[in-house]
Order: sequence, then C-alpha cells, then structure tokens
Amino acid sequence: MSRRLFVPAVLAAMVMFALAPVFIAWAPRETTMGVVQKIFYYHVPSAMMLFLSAFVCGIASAVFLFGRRAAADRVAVAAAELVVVFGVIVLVTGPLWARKAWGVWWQWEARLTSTLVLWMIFLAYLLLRRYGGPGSDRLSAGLALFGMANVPFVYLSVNWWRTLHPKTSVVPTLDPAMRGAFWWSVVAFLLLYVALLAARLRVEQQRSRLEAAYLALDE
Amino acid sequence: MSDSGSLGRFFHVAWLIMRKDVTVEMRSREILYTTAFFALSCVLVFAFSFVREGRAIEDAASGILWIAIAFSGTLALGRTFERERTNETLHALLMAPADRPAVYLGKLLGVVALMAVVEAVLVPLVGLLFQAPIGTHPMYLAMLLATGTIGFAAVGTLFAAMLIRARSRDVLLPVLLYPITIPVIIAGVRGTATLFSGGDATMARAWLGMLVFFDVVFITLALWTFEAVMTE
Amino acid sequence: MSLVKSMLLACVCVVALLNTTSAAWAAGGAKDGVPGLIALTETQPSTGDFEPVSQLPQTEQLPAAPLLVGAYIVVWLVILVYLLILWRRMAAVDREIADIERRLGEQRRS
Repeated sequence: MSRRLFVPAVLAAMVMFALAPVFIAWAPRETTMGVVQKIFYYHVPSAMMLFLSAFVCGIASAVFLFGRRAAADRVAVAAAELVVVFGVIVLVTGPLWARKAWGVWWQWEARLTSTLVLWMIFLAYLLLRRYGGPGSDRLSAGLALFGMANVPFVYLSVNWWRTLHPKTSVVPTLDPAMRGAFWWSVVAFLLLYVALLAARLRVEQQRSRLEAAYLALDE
Repeated sequence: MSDSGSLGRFFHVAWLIMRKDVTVEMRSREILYTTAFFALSCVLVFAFSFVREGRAIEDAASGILWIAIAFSGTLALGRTFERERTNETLHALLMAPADRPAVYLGKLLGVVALMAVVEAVLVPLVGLLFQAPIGTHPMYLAMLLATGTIGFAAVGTLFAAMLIRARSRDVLLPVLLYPITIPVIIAGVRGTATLFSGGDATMARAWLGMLVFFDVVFITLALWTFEAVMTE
Repeated sequence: MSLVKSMLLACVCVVALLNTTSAAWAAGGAKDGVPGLIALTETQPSTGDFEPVSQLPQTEQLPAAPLLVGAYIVVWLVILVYLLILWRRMAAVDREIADIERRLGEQRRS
C-alpha cells in the first residue's frame, strides 16, 4: 500500500490543490453570502473526509475487535488521527464562514454540534491510545464503535433541542456552475486523505516492526 | 440445555452479581455516602452561579440536576470498579464459568441501583432549593430519570470495566464517557425542563422515547462488545 | 529516499504559497474592484440566485475577504503541520529501526 500509492496520490493531490483556487475563483458568487461562501469549497470536502475517516476507523475497529487482525488496528489508529486533523480544518473554517453568514462564530446547530462531538470522541480516542497503557488498542476499538453509534443520537437530540428555539439557517443549494469547483475540491481532498492515510499507516507499520525487533533483541 | 434455561441462568448470574455488589456496598456504604455528598456539593456550587436575586434562572434546575447526576455517576462508576480492581475480584468474576455479558449486566444493575438511591435524595433537594415543581408529572419525571440513568450507566459500566487495567483510568473515564453520553444529557435536561416549566408532557414523551431507544441500542452494543473488549 | 521526501515537502510548500496568494488575489480582487479572477464571472450571465460581482453592495464584501483568506491559510497550515509531524515521526522510527538492526547484527556476530 505504502510507497506505490503514496507518491502518486500526494503528487495528484498537490496538482489538484494548486488548481483548486482557480476553479473556486471561477465559480459564481453566491448572492446572499458573497465571497465568503467560497470557504465551502474547502470546508465541505474536509467535513466529508472527516466522516469518511470516522467510518473507516469504525469498520477497522470492528474488524480488529472481532477478527483480531493487528493490521486493522493500525488502520483504525491512522484513520482516527485523520479524523482529528480534518476536524480541526472543519471546525476552524466553519466559524470563519458563520461569522459572516450568521453573524456569530458558533451556532448550536445539529450538524455543527454533532461534528464537534464526533471530533471530541476521536480526540478522546487518541488520548486513550496515548495514555491508556497496555491493552488500550482494544479499549479504543470499543470506543470507536460506541462513537459511531452515538452520532445519529447526537444529531437527533441537538436537532430536537434546537427546534424548540427555531433559528434560520442558511444552507446553500449548489448551483450547477458551482458543482465543478466543488467536486474538484472533493477529489483533491480525497486524494490528500488517501495519501495521508498511507503515510500514517506506514509510520504505524514501522512501529510494529520496531516492536518486533526489540522483542528479538531481548531474546 | 434448553434456550429458556440458559436465558434464565443468564439473568440469575446477573442478579447474583448485582446482589453481591449491593451487599458489599451496604456493609460500608462508602461509595453511597461519598457519592451522595459529592452530588450535594455539585448542586451547591451550581446554585451560586445560577441563582440571581433568590431565584434560579430559567431551566437551571433541570440542568443542575442532570449535571449532578452525571458527575456523581462518574464518581460512583470509578469507585465501584476501583474496589473490584484492588481486590482483584473482577478478574475472578471473569474467570468464573459465567457468561461475560451476564457479568456486565450484573455490574450495570448494581451501578443503576446505587445511582437511584443518590437520585432519590437529589431530586427532592433540587425541587426544594430551586422551587422546581417535581410533583406535577411524577411518573414522567421518574421515567426520564430511570431511562437516563440506565443509558448513562450502560455506557459508563462498559468503559469503567474496560479501563480497569488501563493507566490513568481516573482521568480517562470522564474523557471517554461525557462525549458518548451527550445525547442522554441533552434528552434528560430538555425533557426535565419541559416538565419543570409546567408545560404539557408531549415533548417529555418524545425525549423519553429517544432515551429508551438510546438504552436499547447501547445496552445491546455493550453486551455485544463486552466479551471482545475484556478478553486479555 | 530522503530525496523523494524533500521533493514532496518542497512541492507542498510551493503549492501552499500559491494557494494562499491566489486566494488572497481572488478575495482582494473582489474587494478593491481590481479585475482579479473573480471578475471573470462578470462576463457570464447571472443564473438564478447568483449575480455578478458588480451588482453586489460594496459593504457586504468588505469583511469577507480576511475571513476567506484566513480560512485558506488555516487549511494549509493544518495540512502542513500534520505533514511535518508525520515526517518527523517517520524519520524517528526509521532511525530507530536502523539502529536496532545494527545492534541485532552485532548480537548475531558475537
């Protein structure tokens, strides 16, 4: 997986990222929000990668927990870390957009809140990995499974809570002219995600090699 | 062994484990007293920030109630499993020829029983101190508290059991527990707030439905993963 | 091998610079009325809810540009920092593996 996939993916992602602003600048401006709407071309693909990565982590955790494959655990760690990385992008660019569109930095809206909670769960995952000591691989796999099951509940509960105090939300419908730039960004982010996942996975593979080598040295 | 026989055995094991926990606790009452006292101090601390000119601000009572439940519940979970750890009894339980899920269910029932006793003190106190009308819909309030506590304890028992061998488990338990139980807290706080504000119980029923659904999903998930997570 | 890595890093840096500057260009062009890339949209007929730049009130455009540029910079900063972290980890692990393999070899010889 590592080298043969990593280099072309990084190169392709770089080329696509270099061209993305051109397409984004070409895309028409949204009338109600103006130029700040263009944050969406980076914000939404990052959010998509966040949820994709969470999904990857959940599946890998289930495979590890019930199939006892060490490789699945490595995928889960790599994916969990990427959830946090893309989460930072999403949670920073989101408020920057909201400041202009809604007039506030943060809004307790269902999608925002559930993204924040999901991000926090994976942050907890990494904390558990880091400070849990021996056996934390299985514990974190359990946490990932619970986190996945939790997302719809968070979304629903925040949605209900907010509908008691209705607020207008501006969710843009995608104009056909915007689609090109948008999907370009999505593919660019997807390639970046694959590249980062491959790189992170390589670190984890090398680490397990190192552990095996240390064991061999002890004997 | 027939299906109903093994199911009966399953619940019997769970019941025995719960009874063991309650008996041990009743001897010293250590966790009960400390947890109840901690819940009281939570209420006091929140009262200082949410009571203005002698009156609690709107919806503060339900929030204070549920925060006290969540905090003291975390404490109770941590202490319950710490006791098992120091005496190496959980290890023995897991070695016993009993279904692992039955062990989980027994521990869960023990924690829920403990939290129920604390809540029995906490709810009248919140009603008294914040003029919350706890008597208007007593059935709904009891059901919200029951389902919310079960949901919180269902996730908490699994995580506390998981963390029993982990380093820095005292900090990690709330770190893992609070993000996952956010739906329980939202549903509990909002449902109780509609009851306390004297409105009709339609919205409380909806929240109750969500809590029941949460309980079913997460208890099933916990029973399913407990074995895999606890195997060494 | 390290050549590939450093080439990739240089590539990332260049593209990041390109990106932030072009984002600033796109946003700044709209702000000052300088014909930037965004001005190209003016020649297109407006479709439905979306209007050309020139018809927008000037006040609405003012605070948006720093936010947009800030968002682009943040995206790139996060990705760059993460790549850097990944890189350093990879280098550390590789170094350690080389070290332990050397020690293993010594052990076998003795």
